[in-house]
Amino acid sequence: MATVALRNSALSALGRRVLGGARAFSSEKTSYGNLSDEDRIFTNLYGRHDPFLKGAVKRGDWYRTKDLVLMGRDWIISEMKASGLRGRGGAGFPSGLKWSFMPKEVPDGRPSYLVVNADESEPGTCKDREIMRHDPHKLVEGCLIAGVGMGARAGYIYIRGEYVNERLALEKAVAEAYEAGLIGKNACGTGYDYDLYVHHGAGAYICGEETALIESLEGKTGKPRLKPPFPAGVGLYGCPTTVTNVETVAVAPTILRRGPEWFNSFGRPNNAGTKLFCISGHVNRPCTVEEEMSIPLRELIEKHCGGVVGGWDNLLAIIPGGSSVPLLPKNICDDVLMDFDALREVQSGLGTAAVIVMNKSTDIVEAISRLSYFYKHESCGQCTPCREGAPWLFEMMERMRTGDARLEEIDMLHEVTKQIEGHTICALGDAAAWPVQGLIRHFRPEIESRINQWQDQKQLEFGGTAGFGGYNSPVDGGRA
Amino acid sequence: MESSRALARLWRLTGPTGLTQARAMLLGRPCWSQQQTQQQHNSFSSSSSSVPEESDEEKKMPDHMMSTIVNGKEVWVPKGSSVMQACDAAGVDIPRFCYHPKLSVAGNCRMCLVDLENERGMSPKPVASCAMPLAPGTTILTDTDRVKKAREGVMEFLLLNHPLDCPICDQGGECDLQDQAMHYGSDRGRFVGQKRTVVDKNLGPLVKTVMTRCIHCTRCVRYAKEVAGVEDLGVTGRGGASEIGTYVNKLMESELSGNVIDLCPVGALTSKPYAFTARQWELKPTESVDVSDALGCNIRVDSRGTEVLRILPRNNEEVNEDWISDKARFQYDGLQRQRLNVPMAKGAGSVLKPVKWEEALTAVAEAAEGVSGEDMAAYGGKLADCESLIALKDLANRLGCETVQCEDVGQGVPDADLRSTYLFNPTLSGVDAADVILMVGTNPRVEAPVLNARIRKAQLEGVPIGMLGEDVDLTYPTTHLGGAPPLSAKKNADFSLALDQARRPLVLVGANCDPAVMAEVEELFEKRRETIEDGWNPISVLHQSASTVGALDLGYGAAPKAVPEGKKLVFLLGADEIDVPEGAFVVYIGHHGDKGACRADVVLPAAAFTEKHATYVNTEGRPQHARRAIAPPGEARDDWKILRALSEVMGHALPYDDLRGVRSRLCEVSPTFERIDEAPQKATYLGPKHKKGKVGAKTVLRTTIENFYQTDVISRASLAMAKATQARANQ
Amino acid sequence: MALWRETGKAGLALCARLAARSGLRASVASSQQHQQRDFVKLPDLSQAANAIGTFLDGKVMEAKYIHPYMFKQAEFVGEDYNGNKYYEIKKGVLYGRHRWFVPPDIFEYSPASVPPEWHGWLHNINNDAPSRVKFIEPSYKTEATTYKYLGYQPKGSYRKKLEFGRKRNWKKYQAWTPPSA
Repeated sequence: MATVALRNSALSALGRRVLGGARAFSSEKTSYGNLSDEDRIFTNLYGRHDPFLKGAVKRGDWYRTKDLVLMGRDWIISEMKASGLRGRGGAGFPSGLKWSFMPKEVPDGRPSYLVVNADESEPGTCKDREIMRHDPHKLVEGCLIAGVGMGARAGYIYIRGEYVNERLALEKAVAEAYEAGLIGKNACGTGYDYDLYVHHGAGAYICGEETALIESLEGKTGKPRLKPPFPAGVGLYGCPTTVTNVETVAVAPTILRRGPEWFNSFGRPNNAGTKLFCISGHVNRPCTVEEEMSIPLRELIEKHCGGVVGGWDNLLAIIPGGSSVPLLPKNICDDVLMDFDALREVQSGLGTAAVIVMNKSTDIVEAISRLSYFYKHESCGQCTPCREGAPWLFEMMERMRTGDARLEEIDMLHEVTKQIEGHTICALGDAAAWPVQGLIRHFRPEIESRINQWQDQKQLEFGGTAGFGGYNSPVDGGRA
Repeated sequence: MESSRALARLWRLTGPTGLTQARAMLLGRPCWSQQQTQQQHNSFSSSSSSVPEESDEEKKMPDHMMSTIVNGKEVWVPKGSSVMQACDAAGVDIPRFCYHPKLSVAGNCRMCLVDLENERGMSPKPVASCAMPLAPGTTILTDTDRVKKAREGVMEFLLLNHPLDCPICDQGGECDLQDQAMHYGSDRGRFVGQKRTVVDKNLGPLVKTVMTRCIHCTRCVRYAKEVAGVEDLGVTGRGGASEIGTYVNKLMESELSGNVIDLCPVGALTSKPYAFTARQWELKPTESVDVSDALGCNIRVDSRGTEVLRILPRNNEEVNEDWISDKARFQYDGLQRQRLNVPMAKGAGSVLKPVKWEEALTAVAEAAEGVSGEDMAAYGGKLADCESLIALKDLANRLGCETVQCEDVGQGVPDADLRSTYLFNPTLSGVDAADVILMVGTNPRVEAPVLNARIRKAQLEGVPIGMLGEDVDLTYPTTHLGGAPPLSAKKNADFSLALDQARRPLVLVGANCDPAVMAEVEELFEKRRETIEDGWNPISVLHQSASTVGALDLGYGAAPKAVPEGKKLVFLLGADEIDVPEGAFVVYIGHHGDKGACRADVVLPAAAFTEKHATYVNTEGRPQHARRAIAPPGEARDDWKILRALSEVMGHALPYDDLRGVRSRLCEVSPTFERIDEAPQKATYLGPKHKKGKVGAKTVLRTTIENFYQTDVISRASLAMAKATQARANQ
Repeated sequence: MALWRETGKAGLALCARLAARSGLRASVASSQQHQQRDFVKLPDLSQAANAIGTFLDGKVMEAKYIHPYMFKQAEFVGEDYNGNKYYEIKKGVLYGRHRWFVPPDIFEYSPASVPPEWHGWLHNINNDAPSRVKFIEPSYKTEATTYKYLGYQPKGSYRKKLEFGRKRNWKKYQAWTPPSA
C-alpha cells in the first residue's frame, strides 16, 4: 500500500525516533497515564526551546510535509478517522468524520475554508495559548494538513483579542512559513495553494461558538447562527467551512507521521490519544501538561501538580472540563478517569480538559454563582432562554449564596436550568445551566443549611419568619 | 429565466449580504419569486384537500410536494418547506414571535419548538420549527409533554422582563404575547427580582416606542434592513442588556416605517398618533382601498362612531403584500380637519356663506343658464372615485361640454383608447418576475413606497436596476444612466447587455414624462422586441394619483395647469391644483377646504374616501372598491349623488338613482369595472405608440412630488403628516 | 363576651355620631372636604339610611370600631394630610392584611385618598412609612392635589359637566371656514 510505504519511508527517515517509545497495541490495557517524553506531541509546551521555524524543524515539524500533502485528501481523512481523534474543543466530535463532511465539489464553485478556533475563552482553559506561543508551527503545519484534508482554499485562525503575545508569535510563525514557501502559493512545493490568515477577535466568550465565530470573522456581531444549515454547507461567507480547535489541528501532522495506530494506542477505546490538561485552582503547582487520555484524575493532580493544597482529603470539588461542565465532589474525583466517556458517566464532561480544583476553603456556592455571573455577562442576547434565563440564574444564585431564599427555590432553580438547557440556539444556554445543576446535584445540603441559617438569623433579628427578597413576609400564612 | 434568478440568489450567498438569505434559500422560503409564491400559496391553501382520502389512495403526489405527518395527520407540503409551514398546512397552531413570512428567519424567540421523530427516534432536543427544513421521513409532534414544557418555559422567560402594563398598553387586545401567554403560558410567574427597564427611543413623530416591553424578536430590525432598506434599527448591547434602537438618536428615515407597528408582536412599537385613543375591540373594521398613491393598497379602516381612528394594511400579495406607506397609514387625521360640511355659495361681498342644499344647487343652475357647452369645463381631482367621475362626465356631456379632464394625468398618455399605453402592464407582482428594471423619470420611493419595496426585493435578488433621470437614493443601488433618454450605451455597457438579454424587461415610466421621452423608451424596446417574452409588455406607467387610471378609463383627458381663458362655468370635482382664471363661475365638489374651495363660487360638500362606497382603479388597471366606514360630516353627501341632484336641478337628470345604477353605467363605459379586484389580462407588447419628438439635451427627468408626506388635500390637512414633514426636514 | 361588650360600646358611640351626621349636618359639616363634594346634594334622609345600611352591613364596625386586629396590638403608624390613619400589626396576621388605614369619614371614603407616599407602604411595595422615613418626592412628581371626591372624570363625563359647567364638544371634526373676502 502506498500509504504504508510513505509512512515507512517517512518514519525511517525520522529515525523511528518516536516510534521506539510507542506502546504495544493491546486491547486489555488497564492503566493509563504516565506518558513518556517520547510520546509527547507538544515538545515545547513550556517554551524552553526556540518556538519558531528553526527550532520547530529541529523538533520534527514540517518534516516531509510535502509527502503528507501529496498523499491526498482521502488518505488524510481515513488516517484521522483511524486515529480516533476526537475534537479537543469540548464537544468531542470525531475529527476525521467532521472533516469528511466537507463537500468534495461545490457545483457553483464556492471555495471551502478551514477556520481554527483559537478563541480560548472558557474559564480555566489555557492549553491553546501554550501551543500558539511556544509551538506555533505545529498549528501552522496542522492548518495546512487539515486544509488539504478538507479541500480548503484558505485557513483563518480566529484568535481571541486578549492573546496579544500569542498572536504576535503566531503571526511571526505564519510569516516564516510563507517566506519558506511552506504555505501560500504552491505550499511546500506540492502545487497546492493554501493561504493562512490570523484574525483576532475582540474578546467575547460567545465568539468561541463556531457559528458566532464565523459571524465575527465576517465582521458582524458575534451571534450564533441557526443550524441547519451547518457550516460544512454554508459557513464563512456562505462557503463550506469547518471550524476546529487549535489542539485538534495541531496534533494532526504528528498523527499522520507516526500513524493512527500510535495515537490510538493511548487512552481507553473511543477516547484515544494524548491530551493537554490545564490544571488550576487549589493545587500546589498549577500547570498545563500533556498526558494520556483516561488518566485517573487523582493521578493527574498528584503527579503533575504536586497535589491538592492541604492534601487530597482537603479536596472539596473539581470542575473537570472548564467552567461549563458540572462539578464533581470528592468521592467521585477519587477514582474517575479523565476521558469523554468516563466523565459523561458521572454526569459531567471532559470539555476542554481544564481541571479546576477547589479545596475546602472554597465557598462552593459563591464559586458557582460567579460562574453564573460569567454566563450572564457573556450571553449574546439573541435567543430568549439564555438572554432572560442567565441573569435570572445569577440573581437566584446570589440569593443562594447568602441564603436569602426559600427551600422550595432550590427545586425551582433546578427547573429553571432545565428550562434553559436544550432550548437555545447555541450551547451557551447549556453551559450556563450545567454548573448550577452540578451544584444542586452534589451540594444541595450545603445550600439548604445556608437557607436555614439565614432564616434563623432573620428570626432573631426581626422576630418573624423571613421571606425571600428581603421583605418581611411570613411564609406560613402568618400563624408563626 | 428562473434559473438565472436562482443563480443570482445563489451568488448572494457569497456576498456580504449575510446568512439570512442563505438560510432562506435553503428553506425555500416562499416569497422571493412570484411563480414560487403562487405555487406554494396554492399548495398551502389546497393542502387540506390534497391529503389523500380513503377513496382515492392512488392519487399521485406531485413531484414538488412531499408528505409528512403532523400529530398523526398526514399533510402534503412543497419540498423545501420548513417544519412550521408543514404545521400551518396541517392546521396545527405553532406559537411564534420572531417568525414572519415576509422576513428572513431569525429563530431567536424559541417559542416555536416542536419535537421531530424519524426512523432513528425522537430528536434529542426540541427544534425551532421556523428554521428547521422538513426532511423526508420526519414526523412532527407538537403536543408532547416536552414541547408543552418548552413553550411554557420560554413564555416564562419572555415574561420575566416584560412589564405588566397591559392596561396602559396600546397593543392590549391585539398583542401576540398576551394571546400566547394565555394559551401556552403558566398561570403565574416565579420571578421576584427587579425587572429590566429600557430607555425609550425616539423614532420620529409616527412610531412610538416603549422599549421596556421589547422581547427582542428583531422583526423590526429585519424589516428595516430587508424590506424598508434603511439600516436604521439594530441591536446594541448583549445579553440581558441588549436593546433595539438606532444607537444614535435618529429618525427612522423610511416611507414605510409604520409597518414596524404591525410587525411588533408586543407593544414596544406602537402608533404615535393613535396612542391611547381606543381599544381594538371598540373599533369597527372596514375593508377599503388607500388613495394616497396610485397603487391602491388594500387597507382596513378602523373607525369608532364618526371618527376614523386608524388605518392598517390588508394582505394582498398582488398589490401591497403586507405593507402600506406611512402616508396611507397616518394621514387619516387629515379627514377630521378642514372639512367641508355645509354647502356654501358666494353671497354679498363675494364671501362664501353657508346655504341650504337647494339654494346651492339652484345657484349653480342659475349660473349655468345660457352658458353654452363650449364655455363649460369639468375637471376631476386626484382623489375622485370612478362613480363621481362618470356622473360628472355624463352631466357635462348632457350640458354639451366636451372639456372633461382630470388633473395629474401625465402628458405622456397618447391614446386613452388603448389601455395598455397608460397602465402598469406587467402588473405590480410582475416586478417579482422581471429580469431587468429600467426607471425613467420616476422616484418610486416617494411616488409609491410599497412598489419601491418590491423593486428592492428584486434588486436584492440581483436584478439590475437602471435609472434615467434624477439620481436619487431609492434605498438600493441603481445604475444611473443619465438625466434623460437616450441611453448612452457606452457608459453603461453592462446594463445595455442585461437589457439586450432580458426576456422580461420592465420599464418604469413616471407619469409626467412627455411623449418624446415615451417615444425614446419605446425605441429602446423596438430593437429588442424579438427577445421579449410573449404576453409581456415592458411599459409600466407609474401614476401618482388614485383617480388617474379610472379617469382615463372613463374617457377623461389630461388637464392643463390652468383652465383656458373664456370658460364661464367650471366644475371642480376635488381638483385643487388647477388655476382658474377670473370670470369663471366655479363649482367645487369636494371634501376638504383647500385651494379649490377658496376659488369656488359654490361649494358642494362631498364625502372622503372613507365615507363612501367608491371604485378606484390602480395604476395596473385593477378596479377595487373602497367601502364606507363612517358617515360624511355634517351635510356632506356622496359626490355622485350631489351630481345626480344637480343634474335634476339643471334639467338634465342623470339616469341612475342608486349605487347599482351608477356602477352598471360604469360597466357600460368600460368593461374593466365588471372585474373588480382583478388586474387586466397581460397584453403583448404592440410596439411604439408615441410620436417621436425631441428631448432636450440637458433635460433631467424628475418626479413632481416634492414632499412625500403632503401630496393631496387629506395629507395636507393632516397633523401627523405635517409633523413627519418637519421631522424629516430637521433631520 | 368581652368582645360583645366592646362592640356594644362602640355601637352606642356610633349611633350618637350617626345622629349628629344626619340631623346636625349643616352645622357639623364644616370641613373643607364637605364643601368640595357638595355638588351632588342628596337629601339628608338618604344619608342617614345609607349610614345605617352601612352600619348593619358591618363595614363601619369593622373599619372604625371593632376591627378584629385592633385587639391584637395594632400599631398606629401615622396619619396623612387627608386624615387617614394607618395601622399595622407586625406579627400574627395573614400577610397582606397586616396594614390598613381608617379614613376620617367612614361613610364616604375612597382608597384614592391615600397619598402616594403612603400608598407604597400600605401596599407593601416598601417598608418606609412616611411617618418614620422621610419621603423624598420623585423627580417626575406633578403638583400634588388634595383628595377630591370624583377628582378625575373621563372626557365627556356627565359629572364633568356638572363640575366644570361645560359641555363636551361632540363634533369630531373641524370644519373649514372660508377666507373672508
